[in-house]
Amino acid sequence: MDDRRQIKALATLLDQTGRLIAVAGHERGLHPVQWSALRYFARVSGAAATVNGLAAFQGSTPGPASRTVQALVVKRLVRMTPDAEDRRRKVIVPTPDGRKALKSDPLERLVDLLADLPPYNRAALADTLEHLVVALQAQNDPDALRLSDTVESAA
Amino acid sequence: MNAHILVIDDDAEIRETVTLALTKSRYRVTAISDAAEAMETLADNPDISVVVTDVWMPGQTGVQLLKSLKALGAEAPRVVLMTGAGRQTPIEITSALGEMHGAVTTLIKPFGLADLRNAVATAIDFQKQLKSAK
Repeated sequence: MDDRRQIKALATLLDQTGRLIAVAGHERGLHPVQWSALRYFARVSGAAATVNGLAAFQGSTPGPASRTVQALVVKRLVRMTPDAEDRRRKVIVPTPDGRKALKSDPLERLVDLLADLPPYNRAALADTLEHLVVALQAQNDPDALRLSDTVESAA
Repeated sequence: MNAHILVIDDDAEIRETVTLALTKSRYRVTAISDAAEAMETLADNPDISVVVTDVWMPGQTGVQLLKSLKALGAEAPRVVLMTGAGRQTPIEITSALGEMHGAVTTLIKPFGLADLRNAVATAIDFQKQLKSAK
């Protein structure tokens, strides 16, 4: 597939796949970025379990991260609580409803689809996505190209 | 015998803090500042079962190291990544790439020492399971 028209069709397919994944990510009235935040707070603790920690994780700034946390608080999926290691600090933790919601995380359906692929196809997809995500990210952060030498040599 | 851990971070303060915490937990620790020295250190210390490494370092990144470790096959130590804010690349991407290449987990700086100990214990369990499955 070296004809540019065919490659453009491939790009369109990839773009559409991203949109379908994003639509699936709107489960339970949560936006994909809110699902990402809920997953994040389920895996971190201490100083990382804060608005600033979420902002660094998602590559955003404290403003949007704070709005994401507020939306999750309103939906009663996370709550603020004093940190066990430092009582002066408030950390964000999933509520029981938040942990229950994670059991129907839309990302798991994507995991199931990928798990159905033969290992060779999955490895090829991993290489391709690694190349794309690092090359796209390098438009904002030239250091991103250095993150993976496979991408560096292919770029 | 207590597990032998290799700690890699170009930041001396983090390297020393992690080394001290793991030593207090009775692990044997070797610490280096450059991922490029990791393969030689592993060859000299074949009993190292877990590597705790920073992602962003001059020379070689933690993700590049993970790829190099694949060459060791089943004998490769388990890897715990450490990464922090201050980069344009979201940690979500760095963490996913690392875990796709076999990292057991990614510790997000600043992390608690309890999280560090849990991550290392999980990595050691993984390594034991792999060796017993051989």
